[in-house]
Amino acid sequence: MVNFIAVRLMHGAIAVFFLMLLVFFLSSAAGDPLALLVPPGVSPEVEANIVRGLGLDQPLSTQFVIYVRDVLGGDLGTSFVTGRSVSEMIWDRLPASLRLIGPATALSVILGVTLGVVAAVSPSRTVRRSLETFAAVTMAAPAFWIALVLIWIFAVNLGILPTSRFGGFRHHILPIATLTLAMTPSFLRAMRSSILDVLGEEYIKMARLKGVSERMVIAKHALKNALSSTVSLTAIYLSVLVTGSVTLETVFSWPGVGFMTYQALLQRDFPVIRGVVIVSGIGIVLVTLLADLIQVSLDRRIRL
Amino acid sequence: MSDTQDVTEDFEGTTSSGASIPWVAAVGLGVFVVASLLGPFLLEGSPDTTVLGSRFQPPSREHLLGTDSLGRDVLVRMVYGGRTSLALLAIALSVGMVVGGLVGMLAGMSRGAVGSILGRLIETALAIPSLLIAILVAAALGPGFWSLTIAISLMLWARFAGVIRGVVLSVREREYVLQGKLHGLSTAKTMWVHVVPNVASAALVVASVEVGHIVLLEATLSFLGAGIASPQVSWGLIIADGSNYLGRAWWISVMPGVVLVGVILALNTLGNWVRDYLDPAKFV
Repeated sequence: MVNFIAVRLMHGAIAVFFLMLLVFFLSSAAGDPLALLVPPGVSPEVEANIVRGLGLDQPLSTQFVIYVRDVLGGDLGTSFVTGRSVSEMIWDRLPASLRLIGPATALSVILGVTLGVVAAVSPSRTVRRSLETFAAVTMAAPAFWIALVLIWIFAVNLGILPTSRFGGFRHHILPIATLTLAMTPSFLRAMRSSILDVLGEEYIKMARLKGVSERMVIAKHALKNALSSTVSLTAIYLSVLVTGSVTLETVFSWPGVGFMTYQALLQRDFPVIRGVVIVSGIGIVLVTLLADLIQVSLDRRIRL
Repeated sequence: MSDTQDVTEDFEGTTSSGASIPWVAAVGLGVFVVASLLGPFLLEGSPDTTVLGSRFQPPSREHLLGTDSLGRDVLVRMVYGGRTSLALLAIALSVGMVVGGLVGMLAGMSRGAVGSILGRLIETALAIPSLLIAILVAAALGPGFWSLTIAISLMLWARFAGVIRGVVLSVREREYVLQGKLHGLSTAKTMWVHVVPNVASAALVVASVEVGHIVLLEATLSFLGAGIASPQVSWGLIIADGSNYLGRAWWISVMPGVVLVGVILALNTLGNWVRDYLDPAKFV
């Protein structure tokens, strides 16, 4: 177990290293930062000072080492546009994002797991088929379009909910509903297929032979193991979540990290985008690591 | 611990409806491809023809999907947007398949440090949400068709490499391959005879499963302004154009979205069918 954790930690560290390498490489491809940072018409000495101050006179390898040191120390650079520290900007915007992400994740886990079990074991063919169709259609629909359709129905036509922007409870309904709709099918399908997998296994047949009721079989045996294999798909849920948050916050003008990323993209504010990518990347590596550990403790079949 | 390819496959779910060809999806896709290829020769007008006198026309016989805020025909723009998607699919899939195939085979064949480092690299690339990579590329190189192609290839190669690495790892330990080696078959010959055919069908499966994701991602990125930029046409861009006029002209955003969902649904359905058909044991 200790060995397993050590190996996973090392994998995580390597992943973060590769991510930094990619981000650093793209930053150098982004063009000359001097063009943006040096005011026009300054003397060569001043320019040389700025170059030295930013470490741009160093070889690329040294610059990369400095970059890694900065990121690990929590320094993500300074926004070209606002002149503020990128870490601070992310920190300021995070609560608004979490107000959508938290409830939407909770709702879609509950909905996805419940509907997934129903889609796997329901005796009614119609129920199973409609849940499959629901998952297939919502998975094919882009989150931004679902959001627009919901706005069109509930805000424009019925006029019962606000179209966008941050505000009270009513402002949360449409964004959370959309994010939930975007995430639920992933959980539903994962749950459904792992329940079907688990139900085919020997120990389940054994339990049935021993006369354990079907409800007990599903509740006690199948659900537990199916949950653990569902946890292993964390990376995919996170990907859906990040994509969903960026597009939704943009559609709803919601003042979170996603909308900030969108605005930074419009303004070509590279340090902000770079910061968001590196922070989400590290976050995803950590959450995946955590999920691995949870999976190991949930599933007794995995012995490492 | 599950390998990366299991993750993608589980996520897609399995089609329990048996192995019959999903005709509805196939015909729908055929219509989409033919319309994109031949549409410009059959329909009048170009996607940029602005007729200010006929702005915000609801769907009618003349304009099947209505017109937008500049009086451009939405159906004509959809046809041109479809061409953009097809071009992107063709280029990104080829690049992803070639790069991912080579890296995946190398990662699967080489033992020791190289194989292990490549394996980590593939896992990392799979873990980072493709939307973030694409926004990063768009910010670094400026949005447009080519940075979108680069971004999508950056995501795709890892999907191919992950699955192909898994296939190579499992094939190379099989009895007949080991037997061949014992009988003096060279590594190159082993690759050619045993590994390449398996890899080819795996690559086909990945490609058919990923097309839907690519179309979806392209629309999302173009909608956000990180993908196709005007004057080129894309479905995401059309929907974004219409999002300001939901009250006045709902069809500009809603109708292309319906078509988009239909196409992605058809692509996913066919993709799952190809996967089940080619190798149910390995990929389900």
